[in-house]
Amino acid sequence: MVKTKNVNVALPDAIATYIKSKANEGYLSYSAVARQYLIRAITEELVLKYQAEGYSYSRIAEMAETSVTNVMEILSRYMSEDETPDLDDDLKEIGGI
Amino acid sequence: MKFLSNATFLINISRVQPTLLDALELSTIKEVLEEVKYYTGDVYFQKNIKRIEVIKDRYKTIKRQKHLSYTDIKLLEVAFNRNALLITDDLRLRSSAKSRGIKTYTTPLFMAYLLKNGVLNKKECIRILAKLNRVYIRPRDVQKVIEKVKRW
Repeated sequence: MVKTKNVNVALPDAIATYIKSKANEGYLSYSAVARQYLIRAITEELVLKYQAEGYSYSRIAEMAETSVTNVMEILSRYMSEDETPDLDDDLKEIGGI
Repeated sequence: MKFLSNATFLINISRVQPTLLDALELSTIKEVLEEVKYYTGDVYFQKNIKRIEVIKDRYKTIKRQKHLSYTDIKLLEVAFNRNALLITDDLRLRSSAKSRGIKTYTTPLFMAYLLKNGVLNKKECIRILAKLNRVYIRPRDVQKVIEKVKRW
């Protein structure tokens, strides 16, 4: 089970009102919606930080307490320009050319 | 040759062509299945993932490393000891595998491999790669592989 801690935060009016409207829309509590937004944003930041530090996806998922699927989804939004090293060499080897 | 898959390949294939699981004799370890357990993107995938061979070998040949998970280490050990081809889209795991002499392909490279080995025909291969291009973590890789296989 994931350990949790309580954090009390003061939010700007516009943000608090938005959270309340989302809570009403989904028949959820105000704190549940605020929690979802906070977890989503911080998980994304942690995933990017660990990726930059050279951790594997599986290790990032462990450390950020999320799933490998979520790690892949977050990274796919930021890594579109990257290329696999040795891709050409492997393609040559597979193609036998 | 044995094909050993980590979670990234299973997730990618479930997104683009889950029926491909039928055509492949894939292996993995139970820790990888745990990682994809809550991925319910496709009912067919969840049903067919049970067909994948689960290797239960136990080795303690590679020391725990800061940047790799227990699952990664176990995959490397199985791939090394069984001379398996490791399919992963994780560059950290790929470089660790290559440094140990383990053969490793990413999902797009593995599609090219399946084409070359007659598991897929060119049309199927390009269709799968085109779908993969929309969800893949490094779309430039997929574009490059498509361009290459078109000329084969």
